[in-house]
Amino acid sequence: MTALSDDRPAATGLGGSRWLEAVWEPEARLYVLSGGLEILDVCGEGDPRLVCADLGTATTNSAKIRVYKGGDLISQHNLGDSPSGLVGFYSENGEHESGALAVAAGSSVYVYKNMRPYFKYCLPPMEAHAEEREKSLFRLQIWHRAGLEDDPNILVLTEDLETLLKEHGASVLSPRTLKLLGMESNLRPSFVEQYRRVPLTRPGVATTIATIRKDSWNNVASSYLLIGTESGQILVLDTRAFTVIDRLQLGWSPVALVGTGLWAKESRVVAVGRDGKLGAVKRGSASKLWSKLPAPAVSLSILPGEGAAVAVMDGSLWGFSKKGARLWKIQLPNIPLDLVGLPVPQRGLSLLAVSVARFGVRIYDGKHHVDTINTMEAVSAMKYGRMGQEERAMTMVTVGGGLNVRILKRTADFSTYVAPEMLPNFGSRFTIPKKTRLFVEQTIRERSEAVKIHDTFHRGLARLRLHTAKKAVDELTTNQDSGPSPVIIDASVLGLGPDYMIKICVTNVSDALSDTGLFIVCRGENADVKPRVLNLPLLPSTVPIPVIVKASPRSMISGKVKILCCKKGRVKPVALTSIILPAVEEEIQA
Amino acid sequence: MGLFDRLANIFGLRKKEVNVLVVGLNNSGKSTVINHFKREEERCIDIVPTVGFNVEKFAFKNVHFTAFDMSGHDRYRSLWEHCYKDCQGIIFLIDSSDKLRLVVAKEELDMLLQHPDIIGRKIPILFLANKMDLLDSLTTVKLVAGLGLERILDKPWHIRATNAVNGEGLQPAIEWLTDQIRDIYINKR
Ligand SMILES: Nc1nc2c(ncn2[C@@H]2O[C@H](COP(=O)(O)OP(=O)(O)OP(=O)(O)O)[C@@H](O)[C@H]2O)c(=O)[nH]1
Ligand SMILES: [Mg+2]
Repeated sequence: MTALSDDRPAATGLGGSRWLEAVWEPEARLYVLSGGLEILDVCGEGDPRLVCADLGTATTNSAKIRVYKGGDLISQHNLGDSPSGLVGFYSENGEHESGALAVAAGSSVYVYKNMRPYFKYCLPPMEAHAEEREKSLFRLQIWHRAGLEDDPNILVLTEDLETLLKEHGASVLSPRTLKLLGMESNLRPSFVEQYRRVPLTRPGVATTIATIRKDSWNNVASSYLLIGTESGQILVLDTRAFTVIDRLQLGWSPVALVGTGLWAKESRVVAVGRDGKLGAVKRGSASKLWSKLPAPAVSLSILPGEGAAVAVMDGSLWGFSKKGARLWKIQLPNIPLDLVGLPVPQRGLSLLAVSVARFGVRIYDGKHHVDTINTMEAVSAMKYGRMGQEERAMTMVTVGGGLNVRILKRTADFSTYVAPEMLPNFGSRFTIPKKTRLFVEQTIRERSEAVKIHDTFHRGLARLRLHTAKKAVDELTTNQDSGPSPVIIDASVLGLGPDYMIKICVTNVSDALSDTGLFIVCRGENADVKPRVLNLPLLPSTVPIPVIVKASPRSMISGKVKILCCKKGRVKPVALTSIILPAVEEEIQA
Repeated sequence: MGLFDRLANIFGLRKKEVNVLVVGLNNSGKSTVINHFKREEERCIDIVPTVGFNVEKFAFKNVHFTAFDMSGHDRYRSLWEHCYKDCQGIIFLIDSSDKLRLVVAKEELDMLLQHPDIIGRKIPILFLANKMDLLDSLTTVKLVAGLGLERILDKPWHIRATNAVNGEGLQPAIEWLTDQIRDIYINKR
C-alpha cells in the first residue's frame, strides 16, 4: 500500500492520467476561495455554466459574480460587498426553469434568476454588544443631560469604545462605533448628535450559505436556503417567498454548512465554525457539538452515509460518521486549501478531492489516497459536477487566478488501489447506494418519456420479430435438399365421429432404405390427436407402412390435422400433408 | 463471378449493402444526421437522445447503408466497440461548438483508432464538424489540429462542416464516404 500511495499519478488507459485537460486559462484573474464556485444552468437551457464568486483584488472593492462557459467569460455582475458564498438552487420540483443563484454577501443574500437580480434578502439585525450599548447610552445621557456643547464626554465615550475594541475585536462592535472611531475628531460631535437617538444595533452578517432539499430526492428538486450568521444562527429560508421558516440555534458562527436529508422528513445540518468547532443541528432540537478541531477548518464535505469530512488548517483530513463519531484522520502532505466530494456513481464510489498546497489535488477514497491531479499552481477553490454537456468536470481556480477544468475519463478506474486494503477486512460493509444515480435518472426518464420509450421498444420488438421471421424463412428455403431418401405420406380419416381414426401411410419412394430418426408429428387445429408424435421404423423401399392415430374434434366445428414427417435434427419436415376431420353430427337424442 | 454479375457490377446495378457506424459524443447530432439521410417520408419529427443504439437504413447512389446510430452518452459509449468489426465505414460526429469536450472527443477517437478491430484496417472515416451554424463553433482547421487527425495515415479520412438541422454539407460528405466504400469494398469484391 505504501508503494502505491506515493504522489505520482496512476497510469490508466491510454494517457498517463485519469484526467483530461479541457480548459487552462492562466490569466483568468479569478480570486475565489472555498465555497465560491457553483455550476448552474443559469438560463434553464440545459447547459450548466460555471459561476464564480470573485473577491476581486484585495485593494479595491471590486467583488463580482462571473459566469463562464467552458473557459470563456460570458458575463459579470458587480457586488457591493465581498461574497461569503454562493449556491444554486431550484425553487420548484422538476422545473429546470426555476433554477436560481443565491449569493451571500455582507448582510444580504442576493438572488439572481437568469443572472438578473431578482430578490435581495436582508438579514435581521443583531443586538449590539451589551457593554457597547450601555457605555454609549450612559455617556451620551450624561452628555445630553449636561447640555454641554463641549467635547469632553465624546472624548470619554470614544476612549471607552476604544478599550472595548481592544478587548473584544472589531467583529463584535456595531458599524456606527467603528465609523465614529475612524472619524476625524472634529466631525464626531455632529455624527453623535445625528445618531444618538437611534437604537444601537448591528446588522446581521451572513457567514456562509448552503441548501437543503425540501421534500424530494430528484435531480431537480426544490430546496431551502441555509444561511449561517455571525450571531450563531442558521436561517432556513423558503425559496418561493423568501421568508424565514426556521432558525436553527448553533451558538457559534459557522463558516461552512452542509444540509443532509430532506427538510420535510429527516434532516440535519452539519456546520463547522471559524474556531474549529464541528457540530450538527436538527430541526427542532439543540445543536450537538461533534468535535473541537485543533485548528480552523478549511472546508466541509458530505461523506456517504450522511457523515462528513473536514479539511483542517493544520494539514489534516478528518472523517466523521452520521452520529458525529470520528471515523478516521489522515495527515496531508501540506496545508489543505479546499475539499469537495467527488462522486463516481458508475463505479459506485464516493471520493474526496482535497487541494493541498504544492501537492496538487489529491483524491481520497475514505482515508486511502487513490489519485493526484497535478496542477501548475496550488488550487484555492474546486467544484466537481456537470458543466456544459460534461458530467465529470472538475473545475479548479488556482491561487494565481487561473481557471482549470479537467474531465475525469470514462475509463478511469480507482478500484485497483482499494483491492489490497479490502481483502483482509472481509466483514466490512460495502457502501452500496440505495438508489444509484443511473437508476434514478432512468426512472425520471421513463416517467417523462414513457410513450416514446414504449414506442421505441415496440419498434425494436417488431424489428426483432421481422428479423426472426426472415431468418426462419431463409433457413427453411435454403435447406431445400430433402436428403437421399424422399418419403411421401398420405392420410385418410376413418370412422363416423366424434372419435375418428386417421390412417397414415408412409412410403419410402427411393431405392434404398430410408433415413434413421424419422418420425410423424400430428398437429391438430381444433382437434385432439393421440398420440401426437410417432417414431417410424426404418422404411423399406416402396412399401407403404400404415400408422393409426386417434383424433377427435374439440367442438362441433370440423377439425384440421396437419401431419408432418420429420427427421431428427432437421428443421424442415421431410413430407407434409393435412386432412380435415368432418364435423360431428349432433347426437340424436333417443 | 458470372458474366452477368460482372456486367451488373460495371453498370453499378447490383445491390450493395454496407454497414456504417455513427459515433460521437452525446448531443453532437448523430441521430439528426441519420434522420436527414432517410427518405423524406420516413423522417422523424422530433429526435430524443438515443438510448443504447438504433439501426437505420438509407440508400445513396445505389449503395444501401445500414447505419448503427450509437448513443454518445458516456454510460453507453462502451457499446461502440462491439460494432467495430462489422462496419465498412465510420461517421464520427463532433459538436464543433462544444469546445469544453473536444478533449473528450479526442480521447474517444484515440480509443477507437487503437482498438484491435480498427487498427491496421483501411476503413474510411468521415468526420462531421456539426453545428457549424452556431456562433462559437470551431472551424474544421481547428478541429483537425485539436483532434490530431493528421496522425491518421493508414485510413482514408475526410472532414466537413455540416448543419444537420438543415442538411447543409451532408450531401458532399456522404458522397465522399460512398465513393470510398465503393472503392475499398464493392469494386474489389
Ligand atoms: N444548431 C444546431 N443544432 C443541431 C445540429 N445538429 C443537431 N442539433 C441539435 O442537437 C441536439 C442533439 O441532437 P441528436 O441528434 O439527438 O444528438 P445525438 O448525437 O444523436 O445524441 P445522443 O443520441 O444522445 O448520443 C438536438 O437538439 C438537435 O436539434 C446543428 O447542426 N446545428
Ligand atoms: Mg442520438
